[in-house]
Amino acid sequence: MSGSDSTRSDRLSWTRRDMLAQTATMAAGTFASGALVTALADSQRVFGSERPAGPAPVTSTGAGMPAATRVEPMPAPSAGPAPSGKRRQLLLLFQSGGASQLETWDPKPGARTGGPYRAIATSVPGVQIGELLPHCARNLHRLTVLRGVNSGIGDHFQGHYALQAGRVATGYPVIGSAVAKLLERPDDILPGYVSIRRDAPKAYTDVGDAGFLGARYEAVKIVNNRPPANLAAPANVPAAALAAAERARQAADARFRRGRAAAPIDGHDTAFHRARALMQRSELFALEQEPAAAHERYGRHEFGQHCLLARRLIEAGVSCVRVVHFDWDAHQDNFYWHQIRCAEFDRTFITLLDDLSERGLLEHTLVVAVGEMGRTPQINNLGGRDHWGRAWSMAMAGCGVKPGVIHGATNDEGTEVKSGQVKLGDLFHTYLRALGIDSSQMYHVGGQTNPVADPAARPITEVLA
Amino acid sequence: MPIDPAKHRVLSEFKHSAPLLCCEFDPAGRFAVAGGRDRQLAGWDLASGESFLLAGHDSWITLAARARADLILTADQTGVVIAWDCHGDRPEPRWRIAAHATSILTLAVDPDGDRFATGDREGTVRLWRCGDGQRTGEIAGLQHPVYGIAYHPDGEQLFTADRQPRKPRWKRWEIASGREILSVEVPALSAYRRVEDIEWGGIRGLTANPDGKTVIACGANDYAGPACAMEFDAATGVPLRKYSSPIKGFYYAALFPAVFQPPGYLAVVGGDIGKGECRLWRLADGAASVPAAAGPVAVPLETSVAIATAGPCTAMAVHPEGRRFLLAQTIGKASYPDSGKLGLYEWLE
Repeated sequence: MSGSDSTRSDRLSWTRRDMLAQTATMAAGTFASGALVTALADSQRVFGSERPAGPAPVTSTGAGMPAATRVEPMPAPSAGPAPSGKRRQLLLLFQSGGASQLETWDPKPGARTGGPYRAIATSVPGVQIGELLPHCARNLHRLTVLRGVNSGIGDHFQGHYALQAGRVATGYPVIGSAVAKLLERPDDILPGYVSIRRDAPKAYTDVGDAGFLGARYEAVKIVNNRPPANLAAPANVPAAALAAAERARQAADARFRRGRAAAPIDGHDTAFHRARALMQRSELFALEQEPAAAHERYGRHEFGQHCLLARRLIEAGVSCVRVVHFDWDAHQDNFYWHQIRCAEFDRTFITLLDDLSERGLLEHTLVVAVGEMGRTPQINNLGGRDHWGRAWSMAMAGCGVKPGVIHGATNDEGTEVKSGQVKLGDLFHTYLRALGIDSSQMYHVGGQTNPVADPAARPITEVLA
Repeated sequence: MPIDPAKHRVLSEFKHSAPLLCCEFDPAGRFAVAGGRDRQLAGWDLASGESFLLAGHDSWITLAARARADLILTADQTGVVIAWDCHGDRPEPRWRIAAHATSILTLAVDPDGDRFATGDREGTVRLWRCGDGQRTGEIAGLQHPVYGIAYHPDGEQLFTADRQPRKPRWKRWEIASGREILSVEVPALSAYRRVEDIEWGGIRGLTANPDGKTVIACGANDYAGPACAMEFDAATGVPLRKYSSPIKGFYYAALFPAVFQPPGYLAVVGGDIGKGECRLWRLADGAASVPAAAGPVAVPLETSVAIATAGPCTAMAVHPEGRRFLLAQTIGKASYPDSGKLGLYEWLE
């Protein structure tokens, strides 16, 4: 790469975050194909000199050098296959807003902070969880629960990013993007990372992205189970016209590429084509093809239906699917709020595990249920619980983790971790290891190297199978 | 001499180590009890001032009501009801039942004090005998949390209120047959927000006028709006009047019991962060007078008097003799209440 190319490439690299909204839209195919070129050109013109709030990469040639966006040829796959030989996959159920650990995995009945609900016995002898999760209680022997998460973060935006990126420093890829890259195969057609959420989210829902990995590994964002819009050919447009439009798009792209670094444009182009490939598999979104019993099983609520789509996407081979379960931010009326959310989560989560298992998918799919934080042990004046990052819980199931393990403990009032403390970087390592990925490896992007996971953190070996 | 609700004095203040959520006198008026987050029923002998603690509940005690035969009934968030016999020097448990599988949100005793009804967070309404805690029936057909139950003064009918999202309802039932007589949607008390997909409002308290002609449904006007009580014609469901407090009531809407006390007044308790009140609305021309104009009439704030409390007021109970009353409160530093207070007041002439 020449020096001038590098400079231009860097500009594109740094403009990527600013273009994120457009890029995400592009990836979801919500504008006409020719707009790709326009968006890139506009963003370069307007934002080309801006620098990102990204990491100072650890490089092979010197720290702090900006990373070019060209993704170097993939190294030999480091991800170990599942016992079945199938590629491992990740299904992330993100409890956006932050679920209360005291009403879910780490109840403290009788404590000052305990709240009104009971703890109930589970299928793991001697272990109790909150009564709002009866299905989980009966299936706890299939789950791995961490009760000693100390992320130290009590902010939605930072938490959303950090709990998915495994770091506080910005600019790194979130787990979905990381998995999309690290489990990528040359013959992949579908996107590696699909994120599903309901509409009307708070802004922090979509925090977190591919970071320096570039647009190629951005999530294709699905809202309310609707397939990416505007990629399907309108029925009343003749095929010849569509072909002409496609030729025009390609010509425009070709013109735009002249004199510019190919890597960032390729990244966007790949994202575009994968979104379109997803659209060409429109049957994946045809949830009406599922029997009524499946809809009932998953729950007719949004989270249930989103999880049903997630299962179909996992089955189709998407490396990482994230379902955002919105909203757990119960600053007031926490106990009623958790009654509602837990009822949705509890049955759907176990249904999902059952369904994945019945289809032979669970043995190579890691299912993670986590939010960006927990909630305060103290109950506030509004009957709510506030943000809490010092001692909270999460759960996993599926490939790579030991079922029936309850790791970590908090003190009697749930205010501090007493044992088995884990940090957010540890979680990131653990997800990757469970997926058969060497979490100590490096990204090689644009001639620079960056550790895939925080080198200061470690996988939680106690829960890894 | 009739009492003047605007005039009152504090007789005693009983402090407790946990936020208090309910209170009651025993039928003979010898004891005051209050329940809260610490799962213990705190009691005070009104004559001696001595305090005592009663164990038996395993969760927050949120409801208390007195019944005949010297009983106080208390209910908690695990579905347990305990009947406390108050004949002796201290209340003693007479029976304890696992009345519901989930949290009990409302409990009402019939006008004779012989029967009671309970409603839970899954929409189950059950009917019981006070004397022995035997179940006598169930009202079927509700799917949403039942936050309010009130007996018609004839004892043969029952009102229920729930938190159906977007369309909170109150219903009128014939107890013997379990037949629904009337269903009234109250969208004005809905505070559903799509952003969280949560119904913040709903009817959080229900009481029937002793004359049987009107029903009061309590809630909040809007998301984080002022506390609000709406009065309906009990036979037709027509909304008659709206009583809006200046205090934000949304957060404590679940704790908005209203009582037709003292005579000629409607008392509603509630509160917001760090403050609370018991507001007494004068019932002009009797509670049952029906205005000619369509829609509920906003009752002027000037027709009310308020008793301010240090913390959010969660419950009220009036002594059997009608002059003394209790206000339960939650007290705490900053945003996190960690204790409670029970005020014993007396209305003056």
